[in-house]
Amino acid sequence: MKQLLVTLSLLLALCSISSQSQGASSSTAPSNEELLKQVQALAAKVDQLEKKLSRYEKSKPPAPAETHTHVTKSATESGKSAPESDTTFAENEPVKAPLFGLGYRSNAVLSLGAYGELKFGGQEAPGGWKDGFDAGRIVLLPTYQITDNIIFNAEIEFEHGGIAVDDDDKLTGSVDIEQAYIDFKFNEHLNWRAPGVDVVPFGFINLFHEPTQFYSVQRPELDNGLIPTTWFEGSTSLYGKIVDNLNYQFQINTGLEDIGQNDGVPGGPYEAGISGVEALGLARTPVGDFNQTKNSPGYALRLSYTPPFVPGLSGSTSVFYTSNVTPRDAHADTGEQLGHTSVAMVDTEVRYRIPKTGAEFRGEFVDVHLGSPANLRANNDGDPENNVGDHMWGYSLEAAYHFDLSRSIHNGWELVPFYRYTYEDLQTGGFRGRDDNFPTGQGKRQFHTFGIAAFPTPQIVLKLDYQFALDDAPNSPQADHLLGAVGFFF
Amino acid sequence: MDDRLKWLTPAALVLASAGSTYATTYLGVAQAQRICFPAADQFVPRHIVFTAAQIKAIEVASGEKVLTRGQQVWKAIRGGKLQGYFIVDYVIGKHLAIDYALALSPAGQVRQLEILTYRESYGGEIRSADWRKQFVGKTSRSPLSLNDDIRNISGATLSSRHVTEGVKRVLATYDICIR
Repeated sequence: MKQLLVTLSLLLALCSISSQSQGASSSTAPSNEELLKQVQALAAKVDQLEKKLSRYEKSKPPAPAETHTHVTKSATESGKSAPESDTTFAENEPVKAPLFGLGYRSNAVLSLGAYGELKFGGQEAPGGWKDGFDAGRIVLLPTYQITDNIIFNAEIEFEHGGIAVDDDDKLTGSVDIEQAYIDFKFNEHLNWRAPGVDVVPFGFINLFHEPTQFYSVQRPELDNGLIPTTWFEGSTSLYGKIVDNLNYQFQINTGLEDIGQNDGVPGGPYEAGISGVEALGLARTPVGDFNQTKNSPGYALRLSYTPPFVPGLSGSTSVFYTSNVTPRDAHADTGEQLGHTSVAMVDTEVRYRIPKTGAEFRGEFVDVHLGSPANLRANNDGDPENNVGDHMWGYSLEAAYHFDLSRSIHNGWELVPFYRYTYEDLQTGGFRGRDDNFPTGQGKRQFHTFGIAAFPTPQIVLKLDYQFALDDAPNSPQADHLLGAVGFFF
Repeated sequence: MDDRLKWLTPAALVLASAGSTYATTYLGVAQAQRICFPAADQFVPRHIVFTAAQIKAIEVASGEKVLTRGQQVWKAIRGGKLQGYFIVDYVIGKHLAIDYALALSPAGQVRQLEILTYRESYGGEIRSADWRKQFVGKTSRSPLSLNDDIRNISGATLSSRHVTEGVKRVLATYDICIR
């Protein structure tokens, strides 16, 4: 650019001299002295233009480095190098502006992640084994960094193949907004998640439920009722670091509700939200159209830790409390109004990967305390088999071993055989309410799940597992399954 | 009214504290340079622009994709003597970039890893000093493999994996373009 301007200036000067000399030839020819003065004036002008150009270039961001750099492998540093600017590297300049396009354009990037799981296999059912396929979930994860410290996150989920208006399309899934919120990041200790839809910070899998995070085809059993995963609510949170290796998230949310259907409590019978069969599986509060049925918020606090004195150990402890889950106009089948009941929950879980080995262990304990079980719909719906006591609880223990074949075979896979034992009791003592109060055994369950997860890359997992499901109910189906899955997360 | 207060009070508290909003850049380049090389009296830029052959060589050596056209490198100098190299790089965590700096000895051993900016909501545990300490002494010949010589952080798996991969790539860059 600079050279071009200088050349143009000289050409103009020459043209000017030439035209002047042509004109002069017809009249009086200038003297050598006059010509010298003109050349000096032009040289001064060129000089002025050069200075202007130089100022202009300094005000611009650095030019692409290819224009003035060519990299060669420099000689080994002797330790005596002078602080000169090496010609094989870019010139000095402050790093405020991105160099070579290396800088991350943080506030103008919409990122779209995705995860999903596709399942197949057979499950034991009352009439015999039932084989089939499930497009379990395909999830899109848009993230947009609005400014350096304001970030939008969402999770848009298509479950079980999605939905359609016409029955003959045979789509009976759902489309959910499981997360949609804006984070305001103040500092590492305090960040604010503005009111939006977010998962409740309770346990591990409810927050991190991508299929590459667990080894079984289905999510761990404790997350299929006792923790109503994916448990998401209208909510707002504060989160951050307390000290190194100890983080917190405190959330205020719409809480749980003791109704298992939409559109509020009808005049007649309705489905319980909390029961001895489904645990809290149907108690999640709706996130749409102001359809929540009670006013009491829920409060959740999760502390997560990675203690440095036990390398490889991670864990979390979560608590949840809401002063009432009874919906407006809740009633027994006999017509009596149902009073309030609180729900308090605690979860603690650990994950331990023994450093430099393939061995991994996980354990979790969940306890749900129900303040006034006499007021729960399940104890007043005329069905004596789904009754609930004053608390429900469960635990699981899991062992896995990682065989990383990539160390011995090029592009080798990681194979993870695992076994998990789960015990749940959803029908402890203390039944109350108007139903017949006796335990049926349905809520006492044990699961033995074992199988293998194969990771061709960390983003993809192929799973196969078998589950023995045992419960104490005399006529209950033993819901064993043999399932496979393809999961991905990127 | 009581319920409304329950909802609104925390929001009001947060909004009141929002006046002190600042970005989540934990360290600037100059700060990180001082932390990594406190005795250095000069940082001389030696930024690199990759040739196509170098990109290929780095990818083969590290097994990681090179997504940038070059590397930001400074020589840390004290009294005219080379103390090491200070390199700024970024990787994508789950969705967003993690800016980090790597300090290398003149022989290419990791002296220090510093996280400059962490943008995402989860996974910030990689800033823990204990986790970062694992990289000290690593060279381009180290495995730098998660769950092998570098501990995974459960709940921050993607961040820890991608930073580990980034360090591996930067060390290969040192071997091929800087040494």
